[in-house]
Order: sequence, then C-alpha cells, then structure tokens
Amino acid sequence: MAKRTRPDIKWLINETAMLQGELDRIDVELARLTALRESVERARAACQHTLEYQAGRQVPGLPTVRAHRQYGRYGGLKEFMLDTLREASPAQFTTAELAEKALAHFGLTMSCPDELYDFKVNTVGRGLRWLQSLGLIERLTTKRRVAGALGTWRWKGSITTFAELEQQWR
Amino acid sequence: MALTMTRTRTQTALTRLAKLLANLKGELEFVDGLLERRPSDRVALTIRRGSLVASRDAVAATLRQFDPELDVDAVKAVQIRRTRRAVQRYVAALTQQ
Repeated sequence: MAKRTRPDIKWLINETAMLQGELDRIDVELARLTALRESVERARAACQHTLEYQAGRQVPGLPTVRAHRQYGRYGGLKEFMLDTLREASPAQFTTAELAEKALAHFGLTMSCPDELYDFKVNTVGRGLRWLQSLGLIERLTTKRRVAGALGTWRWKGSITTFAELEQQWR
Repeated sequence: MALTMTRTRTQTALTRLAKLLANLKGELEFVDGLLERRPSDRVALTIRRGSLVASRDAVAATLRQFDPELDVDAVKAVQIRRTRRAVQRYVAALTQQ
C-alpha cells in the first residue's frame, strides 16, 4: 500500500517549488528590465552627446524628470478612451477593461501588480473622471466605498430635448 | 528654463537636429576625401574622423528618440566646397588643436 506523504513535508515541497517558480518569474522580468535599461541608457547617452555638441560645452548634472509615458502624443490616452467609448456606444466598459484595452493598444507592459493598479486607478481612472467632468462620458455605477471598486463608463451622447423635437416638427 | 513632464516636440527642434546630422555627414565625407588626398595630415584627420563618427551616430540615435519612425538615412550629407584655400584652413585648424 502506498504510504501517504506527511502534510508538513507535502507543504514544504509545494512551497519550495512555488518559490522557485516565483524566482524564475522574477529572473525573466529582471532580464527584460536589464535589456530595457541598456536601451534607455544608450538613448540617454546619445541625447547627452548631442546636447553637449549643440551647446558647445559640457552640461553636467541635469535634474531628473519622471516624464509622462508616451501614449502616441500628448492627450493620446484620453483620446483613445473617448474614441473607444464613442465607437462602442451604447456599450459600457469598466475602468479595468479600458485599462486593458489601453495597454494592448499602446503596447505597454507593467512590471508588477502595483504598477498595473496605479495605471488603472491613477492614470486611466483620473483620465475618465476628467472626461466625465467635461460631460463627454457618464459613470453608470455609484462609487462603492470598498477597496478596488472601479467605475463603469459609457459615452454620453447628446439627448434631444422636447423643445428641439418641437422645433424639428415645425 | 523650466523642465516639464510633457514631451512636446516641435518642428523647429526636428529641423535643427536634421540639419546637424546633414552637416556632420557632409563633414565626414569631406574628411574621408582629405584622408585619401593628404597622407601627411593623416593623424589629425583620423582623430577628427573618429569624433565625427561618434557625433553622427549620437545625433542619429537622438533623431530616432525624437521620432522612432524617422528614417535617418534619408537625411543627405551637406556638400562642402573643396577649394584649396578651404582645405588648407580646415587642416590648419585641425593641426592647431
């Protein structure tokens, strides 16, 4: 008869294998980030060289700017979200769905869940609220006061008033 | 000048960078021509050539950073006049450095 593995041994085997999997995942991400860093460093060195050539002198100690990510062009992300909602109207999307669509559209990859959360809540969410404040889109659900609650959004088409209908009739 | 979070690009900036690349390519062609015709100034010309190649590559990479879809090979070299006097002045300036 087969002997059952002790629960503590089973858990230890499983946990060790799981942690190895986590390390493998981190190694893949580190390799991707190392390659990305090298490419960005090359571009930075080239821009610095050109800057010094054009300025005709050394330009040391430039400050660091954590600039906006590139979404094609300035305002590109809001434009994309507005177009997506307009084209899908009267369908509705959640903030998370719009964030997923934006990631696919702009070819962005998030290095960790925290970064994805920040993108959803800070970048996409703030953009949607801005569009809502302009009266271009509407929020369909009331904001629940629980962690992770995200809104559902829809294009806000112009509504014909009775006065306008009456005018058309005449 | 205040640094900004946005990455606004202007046509003027692009034109200046493209002109710089055209000038560098032109000077490089000029130096390559001199290297064949003036073996006596080979050392100074070779040093200048190395510096030009580094600058040309850096400006090309800068232009690609400006617009990844830009074809930097489409920027043609500016033609530099190769009069005897111009060549003499150029080589004299190089050897004085």
